[in-house]
Amino acid sequence: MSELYLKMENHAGRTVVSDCRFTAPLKVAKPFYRDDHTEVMIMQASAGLLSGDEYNITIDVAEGAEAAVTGQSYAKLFHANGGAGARQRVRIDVGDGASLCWFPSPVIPFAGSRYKSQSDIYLHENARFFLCDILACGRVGKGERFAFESFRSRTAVHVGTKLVFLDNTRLIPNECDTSGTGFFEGHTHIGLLYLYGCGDIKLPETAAAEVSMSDSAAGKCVRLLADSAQVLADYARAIAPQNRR
Amino acid sequence: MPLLQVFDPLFPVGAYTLSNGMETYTQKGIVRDRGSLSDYLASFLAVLPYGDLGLAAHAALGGDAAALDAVCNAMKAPKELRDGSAHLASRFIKAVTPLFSCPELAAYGELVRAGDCRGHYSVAAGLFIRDTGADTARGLEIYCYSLLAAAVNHAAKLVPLRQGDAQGALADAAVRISGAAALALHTEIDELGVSGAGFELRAMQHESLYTRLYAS
Repeated sequence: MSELYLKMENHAGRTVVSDCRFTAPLKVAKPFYRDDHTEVMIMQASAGLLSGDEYNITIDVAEGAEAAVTGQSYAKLFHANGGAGARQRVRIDVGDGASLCWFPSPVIPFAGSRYKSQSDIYLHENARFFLCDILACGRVGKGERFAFESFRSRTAVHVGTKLVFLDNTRLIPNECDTSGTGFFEGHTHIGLLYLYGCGDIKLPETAAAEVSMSDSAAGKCVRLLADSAQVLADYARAIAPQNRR
Repeated sequence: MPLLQVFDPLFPVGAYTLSNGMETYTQKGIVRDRGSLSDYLASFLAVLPYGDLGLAAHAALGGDAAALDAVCNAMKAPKELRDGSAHLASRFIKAVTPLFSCPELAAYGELVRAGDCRGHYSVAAGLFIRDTGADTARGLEIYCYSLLAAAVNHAAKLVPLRQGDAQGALADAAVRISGAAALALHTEIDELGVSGAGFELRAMQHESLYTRLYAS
């Protein structure tokens, strides 16, 4: 199991990494101090997630801190080879008056991979939060599509103790046609954005993706279908609150 | 018999106003004939045990109604799906409680009235199945059939489809109902909340369709 713990605090108006611990292959790059927030990149000193790998990531953005935490390049999920597959657990806390943009790496499930992840996110009612999840249907460039065994990813967002948003992605190509109606609908990539406390958003027009937004029980949810991870990442960055000031 | 009556598409809860995204699918030509409707129904049935049918199963088996209500409210990110489900629940509780002895459903109605729960149709359906004492799997099958039949009726009107084609797609899908109900009965609570990226996107797009006959 690889663990990563990251705490960010507001020290006299500047957001700093006040605590940071990790075990290989996870590590944290030197923070970038932007004008209005501090950006930290989580890196992994390995090619991807092998069967049996388990990542446990905890991010705590304390009162008044303004942070962006991003992944590096892509998260590749390798063939399970009959094993249990890879797992990831994420716990995020965003405090009073704090903000976090959480941009994990787009995920590429390789042929035969099995994956299960769970993200539990706890926001203070005065927090701001932006999440961007991008998933490919496989190594599209190699013509590999929906060849993974199973991909399951559950994201639960709470404000205080109240559950306000739940995404439970369950893709098992052997169970039903995940490339078709109701799922990828002929596209190769899906995107999910969730925004809380980010104010009004006007979705930019784009011909490169199908996009729509709605008010969830609290905050806003945006769904995207497209044919490239880059298109989705660029779109997400354009509406991320820290790029709209 | 009470289950056949309350899950009948003609039971006055207002299901005929909610297409749950089907109106987007037909306007975009994704659902356009018997084959494409069958594809829609196959995907719909694949997620149902981890969505509304799973929630109904947990409620029918005595799960915590408030917790299930919270899961349902959080998983229905598209506003029209959430509002539609709450609307059906409120009409369902109002219509069913005077007709039958249903303490579980009535108690849920109290939680909704007190503002402790939003009130969702799948949870209300499951609680009523519990109230009737019917075999849980059979009850879920009847509920599931009513959801499928509603989707097919909306598609038949919107495309429009020949009655034979619509009923053919329904008959093809219906053979998988008992499997879906059995799956729903064995879901863990953490497995609930599955909706499908495409289904959600189309339900969100419905909010801004130029012409709309349905409220979702």
